[in-house]
Formats: sequence, structure tokens, C-alpha cells
Amino acid sequence: MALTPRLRKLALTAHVTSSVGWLGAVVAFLALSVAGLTSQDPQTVRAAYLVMELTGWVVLVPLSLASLVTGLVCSLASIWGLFRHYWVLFKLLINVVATIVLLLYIQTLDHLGDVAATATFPSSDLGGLRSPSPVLHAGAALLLLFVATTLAVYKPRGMTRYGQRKQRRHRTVLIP
Amino acid sequence: MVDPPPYPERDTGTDQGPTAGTPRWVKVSGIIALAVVVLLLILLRAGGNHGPGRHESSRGPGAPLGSVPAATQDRP
Repeated sequence: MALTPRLRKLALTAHVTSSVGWLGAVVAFLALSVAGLTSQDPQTVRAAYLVMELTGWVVLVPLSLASLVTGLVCSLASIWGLFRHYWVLFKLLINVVATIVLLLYIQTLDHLGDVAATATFPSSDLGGLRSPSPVLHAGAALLLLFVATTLAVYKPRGMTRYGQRKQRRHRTVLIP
Repeated sequence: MVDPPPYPERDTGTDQGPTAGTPRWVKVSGIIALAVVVLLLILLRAGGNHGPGRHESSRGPGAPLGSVPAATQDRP
């Protein structure tokens, strides 16, 4: 995919912004999920699950999809390619897995949000609403996105077999 | 403006050219990822229901918090 240098920079800026934004949103989501799990105040617990549902749909899903799409554009439009280097391949896998899990988990967030929205107060029974699941999912997502960010910064060396073949072919063309 | 070539200073090296085998970090990461996936599969199988229904308590979905399950309402 051929892009002008200016468009490549734009795609890279969009990718970095959406990816780091996703990471930051997951940190905020983790804080909400911890509040929802540990707070003794029923209104705080209820509010936490309502905001988590909203954050999932309005922030996490758009940012994850934006990160995936801009990442595909960046890799295909640059000399790094999508399948040539292991670090790019790992980042792609992390992004795809995290996005799929998020899209599946959003149903659980919907359910928890519905329960929080229909909850009556005052109530001391928050057992049905409190769940460690958002904390676990947000923690795992944070770890995955941190690994992806580290890979993007350090770019550890290592070419896939496909990348090596492409490079050999390229050299053969340059030096017949 | 053109992107710099990947690892320009390394591909001209002598001991580890571009045709070197799979790097150690890839092997280690692959083993860790595989172990995590297997662990998750075992946990999911052992944990039973996974998903929105898992959080439905005996009071049923969407029921107000603090409400009494229907099965226990008529008990003295």
C-alpha cells in the first residue's frame, strides 16, 4: 500500500494516539472496576458499573477499533510490513485478541450496567452487582497493551520466514 | 521524507544476519502465551458458565437489588 510521507505520518499519529488513548482508558476503567468491587457505598458501586458500561461503548470499543485499523494501515504502508517482523506480528495478535475479547465482554458490561440501572435503594445487597470480572479483564488488557507499547518502542529484532524471503527477493532484484 | 530501513546497522552485521533463526524472545514469548491460553481454557472449563449469564444471581436478570428470590417469597 503506497502512501505519501505526509499521509504515513498522519496514520502513525492516529495509531499512536488511539493506542495510547486505549491504554489510558483501560487504566481509568480499572480504577472504576476496583471502586465497583470494593466500595461500601451502594451509590458509588452503582455509578461505577453504569460508567463502565458507558466507557466500554463510547471509549474502549472505538479506540480499540481505531488502533487496529490505523495499525494495519501503518504497517502495510511502511517498510515494516504486517507479517515480516515478529514484533509487528505480536502487536497485531495482541490487538486482535484484545479487541475480540472486548467486543465479547461488552455484553457482560451491558448486563452489569442494566442491573445497576434497575437497582433499588437503599440496599445493602450488592452481591449480585459486585464482580471481580471487570478487574480481571481490565488487568489483563492493561498487561497486553503495555506489552504492545513496549514492543512498539523497542522493536526487538527478528524477521519471520516470510520477511526473510521478501528481503532475499528484494536484494536479488537490487543486486542481480 | 522516507522511512529509515529497519535495523540498518544490524542487517549488515556478520554473526546474526537476517536469515538467523527464530529469536529467543519470540520463543520465550510464544511459550508464555501458549501457557496462558491453556491456563485460561482450563479455568474456563472448570468455571462453567462464562459471560453475562454468569452474573445473574438467583433473583434473575434485571431484578432490583435487595429483592427476594421468587422461590423463597412464600416461605414462612
